[in-house]
Amino acid sequence: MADVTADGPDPARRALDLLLDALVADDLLQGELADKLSALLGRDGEVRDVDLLDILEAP
Amino acid sequence: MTVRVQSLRVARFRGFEDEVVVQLEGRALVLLGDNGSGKSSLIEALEYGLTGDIRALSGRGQRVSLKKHAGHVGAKAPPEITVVLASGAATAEVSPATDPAALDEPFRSYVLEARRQRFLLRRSQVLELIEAQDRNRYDALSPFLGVAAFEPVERACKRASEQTQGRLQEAERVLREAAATVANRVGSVAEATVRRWLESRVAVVGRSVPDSLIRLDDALAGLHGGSVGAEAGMAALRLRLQDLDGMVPPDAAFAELHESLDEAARWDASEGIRYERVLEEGVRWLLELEEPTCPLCRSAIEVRHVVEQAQARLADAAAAVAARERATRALDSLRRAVARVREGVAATERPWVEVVGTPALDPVRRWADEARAVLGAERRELDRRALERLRSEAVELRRHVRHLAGHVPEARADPRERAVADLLWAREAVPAWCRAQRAAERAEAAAERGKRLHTLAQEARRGAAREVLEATADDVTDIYRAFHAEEAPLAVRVEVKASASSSAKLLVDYLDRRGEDPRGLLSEGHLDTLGLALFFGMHRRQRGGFGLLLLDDVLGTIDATHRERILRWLMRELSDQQLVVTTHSRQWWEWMRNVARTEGAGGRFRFREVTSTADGVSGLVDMETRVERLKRGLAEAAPPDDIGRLAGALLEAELQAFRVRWGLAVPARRDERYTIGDIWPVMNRKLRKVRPSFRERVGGVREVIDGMGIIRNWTAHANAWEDLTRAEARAFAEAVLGFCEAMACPTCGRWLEVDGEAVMCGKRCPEGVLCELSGRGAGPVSTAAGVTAGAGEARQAAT
Repeated sequence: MADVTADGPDPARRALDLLLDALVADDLLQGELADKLSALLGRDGEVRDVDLLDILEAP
Repeated sequence: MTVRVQSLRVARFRGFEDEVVVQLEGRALVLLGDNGSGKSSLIEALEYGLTGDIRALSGRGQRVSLKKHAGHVGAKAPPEITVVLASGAATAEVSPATDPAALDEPFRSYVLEARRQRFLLRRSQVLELIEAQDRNRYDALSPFLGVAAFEPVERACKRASEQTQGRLQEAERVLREAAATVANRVGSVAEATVRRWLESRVAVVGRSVPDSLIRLDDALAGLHGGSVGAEAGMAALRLRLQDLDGMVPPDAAFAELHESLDEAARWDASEGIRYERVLEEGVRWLLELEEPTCPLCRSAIEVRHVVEQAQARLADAAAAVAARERATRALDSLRRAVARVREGVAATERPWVEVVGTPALDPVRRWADEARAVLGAERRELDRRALERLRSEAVELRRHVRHLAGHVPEARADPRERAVADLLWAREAVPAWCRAQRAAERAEAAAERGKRLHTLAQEARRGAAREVLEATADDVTDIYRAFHAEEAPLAVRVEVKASASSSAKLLVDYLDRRGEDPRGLLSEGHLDTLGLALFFGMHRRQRGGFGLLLLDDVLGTIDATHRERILRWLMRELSDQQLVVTTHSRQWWEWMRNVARTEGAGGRFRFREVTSTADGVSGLVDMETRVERLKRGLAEAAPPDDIGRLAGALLEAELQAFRVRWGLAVPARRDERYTIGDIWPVMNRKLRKVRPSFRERVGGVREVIDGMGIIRNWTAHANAWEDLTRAEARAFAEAVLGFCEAMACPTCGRWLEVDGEAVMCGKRCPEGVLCELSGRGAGPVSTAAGVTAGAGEARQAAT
């Protein structure tokens, strides 16, 4: 998601940043789980369902 | 380097069967045409050519589709669209199938931006921005919010949440069944009870119960039915038959199904239980409402009363949903029971033959097969008589299975043999039950995480959207104020609110009112301009370096004063954009020429007319002004019939414009299709009543036109020019040109306005100067004035 607007950050990038910040601060997801989710969601490219489920269902 | 649309070629597309080429030459384009003539088809052709999509078709549900409706109705071959783009000396051809990656820069970026942005506004979309429910308004605005690239992430989070929820439900079902198996044998699923039950049996075989029951199979390794001989085999068979007896569904299961089906059927027949979600949101909205008055009519809302009624309906809806779920559960339970019976028969038949010698379970298998077929139907399609027959047969089956169990030779009453049989069962069933418990716990935790992740993704998207809208609100306010410069200031804001997906509330501050729904304060026309301001504000933010904007008949419902103001704003503020504007109003279309000229934008615009025949669209006409065409006809000594037709068309267009601007009271005609014969007599009477100075100015040409005995049939004017002499045609043409000259401001060339007896230019001169008719060129206009230079040249653009 490139920064495409001249007068401010790309809203899609901003939404992702908000999500990543919220993951770190969330009581339920923080810690290693948040790190893994951030690494998966924050990278460029498609988010595969199986990868997301692997993280959520990890013991 | 700026990219501009150079030309558009269309064939077999929407309203166009034959090939049509529109030359834009990098300039803005104003298209005139009647309803159905094909203006919107050309707009859609540009959208389709650049994006491969027509959002008005692809977003309208199943009955309308791009594949089915993009082509011309009579065409056998697929549509052809080619958009030629130019940037400096470089050009590129683009079609719906073009892969942007195959284009060179800057064309690749241009096409990618076209596919990302919303650069087409239709009149219906303007209304949608204002009139839509909050959720639909958010959907309408979302393409401008720039969060589309985040949506795949949000969707992935949503899918993950749904999948974890689905897995939790499945894990809970497996757990219920495993627990039921344990409860049937042990009598309880309390861990302490199960442990005591196991301890009493493992003691007999000299083993011990492990700390964790899930490792029971390890603790019982080596214990085998074969080790206790044929007696154990008989005991096992007896137990299998007892299990099979327990598997055949009891009367209560059938009774539950019948009862729940009856209840669900009653609700199925009931009306008005389909809008639970709408009601639920409506109740929430009412409870959140701080202002207990209707935003539209300002009457008081008795919130409590409305909420009570809605909640009563919601309770009904909840009961209906519960009844349907109960019936589904009962049906699923019976289906699973029948599946277990089939498995039980398969597992018991062989040991029975080995022990007893002759098959005896065929009736059970036949019943299970029939039950499977009957229960395989949809809930509403179930055969209730067959169900009742299955129920009564099940009673007989249980008796039959018990009878068979009684014929198995008695095992010795050896406690060890019984204990071994129990433990052989427990070695599989108890760990399976424990594993199901753990799986359900894990699934519950994953479902909770998935739900939270989806919620956070939604909140993140809403947060980013909210920031965009807050940053755009000032722009929208400024644009709206530019459209209504002389009115009380109004401030606009759009609030993104949490809902199932998202909703966008449109609020305005106006005079001493704060945070009001604009529909409660503004006129229909003002709401239209508010919708336009909202669109232009969002578009300004998203457009970046992309330079194409298509406006399909979006100004038609706005009065002339505000329409002109909006047009001037467009020409000034969007001077870097290649505009394509459509209108069905000839006088407005011609007025736009005037505005473009006075804004110094005349060179940036092309004006074309889309003409249609009874068979459909035939093409575009090169539009030179009628004045120019008539003058050229006179200069080139065109045939008298042609001169008459050109002069008649010019007079008709001029009179159409003055009918509106001067408020001439003309007998109503359908679709406002007035002829010269409708308007001229009224105009003529009006001209007799204005001040003498103006009567003198227009008097000569008025008398010539009025006295034209050769114009015998005003109403059918299009056919009334056939037998004019050259002199008659020339006199008529010069009189019409003189009339146009007389009706224009001699200083700025714009249409004159009338106020009682006074005729003046008003406030429409570029510097706001009142153009007095006493100034330059204000004297009487001769019938030949239109063919000469002077103020007549300035009038060209207006007609």
